Amino acid sequence: MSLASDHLSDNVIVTNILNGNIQDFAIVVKNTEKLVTQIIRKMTVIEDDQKDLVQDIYLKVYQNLSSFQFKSKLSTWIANIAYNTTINYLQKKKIPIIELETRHETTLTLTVNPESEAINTEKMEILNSEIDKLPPLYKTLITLYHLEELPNKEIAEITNLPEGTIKSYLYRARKILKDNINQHYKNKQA
Amino acid sequence: MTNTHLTDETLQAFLLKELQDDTIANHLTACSECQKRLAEYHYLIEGVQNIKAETFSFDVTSVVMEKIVETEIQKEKKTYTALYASLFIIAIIISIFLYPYIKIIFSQLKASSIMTNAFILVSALGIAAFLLNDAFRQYKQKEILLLK
Repeated sequence: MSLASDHLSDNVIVTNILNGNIQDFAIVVKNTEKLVTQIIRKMTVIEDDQKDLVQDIYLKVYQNLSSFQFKSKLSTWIANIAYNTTINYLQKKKIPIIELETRHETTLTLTVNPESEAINTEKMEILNSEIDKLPPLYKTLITLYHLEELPNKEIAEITNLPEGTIKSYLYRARKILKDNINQHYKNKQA
Repeated sequence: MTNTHLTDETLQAFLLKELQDDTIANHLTACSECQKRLAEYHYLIEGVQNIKAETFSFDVTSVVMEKIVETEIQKEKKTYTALYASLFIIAIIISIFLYPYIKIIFSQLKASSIMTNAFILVSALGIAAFLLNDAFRQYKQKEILLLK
């Protein structure tokens, strides 16, 4: 869908909600819950906190809907609120959003040829587990870029980070992931 | 051709087609080490793209709408509380201003017939009951609309 038609449908939904059709807000939630879920799930692990965050984020969206100026897609604006709210939550909990808590970059040693490793459950489990070990911000960026397939420009709007920084963080995150996976196979073989 | 291997950044950019350069392509054709690292990134990105999107164990829409309706009901309650408090304050202010004239009003009421007094009292109570009933009805209507 083009940005213009996105804005048009966003405009209709927002106007309806602002005119008192509260039930139309469910459409907004349905349309954006996947993106918001990815942001929250990648940054937090406690389920009760996740539920509170979801409610908190959408309540903020609802209460500030009149200030939405249609300069971006509604989903991008909501994702930005989701990102900022989750970052505030992490800061309150004193959880670092970028520092690596686990293994740092390791030497590049591929001991098992990835080609020989079919895309199977085990491989996905290893990948998932290594992604989980990434700092919250890296996990979020990887998800937004590769899973949600958002362009850097939109990720920049969501995270309030410069596009260059996003690119650089993505390079770093992929390298850490690759090195950690290599290290995982190396340890497994040893 | 240089013996220096391509950086991880260059390999990723080349793989994601952010960087298209014949020098890189030529180097990759000749360098098995860089080919291997490119393949690693290829499998990594492919793997990440195949990860199933995470979901919550709860229904997001229900949880959110529950909260929104609850907030709206609270807001309505606050509005009505503020309205009744304002009416109460206005009534007190009117009473204070009418205080010097109470004796005159009572003497006027005493002078009037029982029927006139009863008419005034019933009218006043009727108007008050109508206004309160209307406010309550509107509140209930909004509550039903929110819970729909």
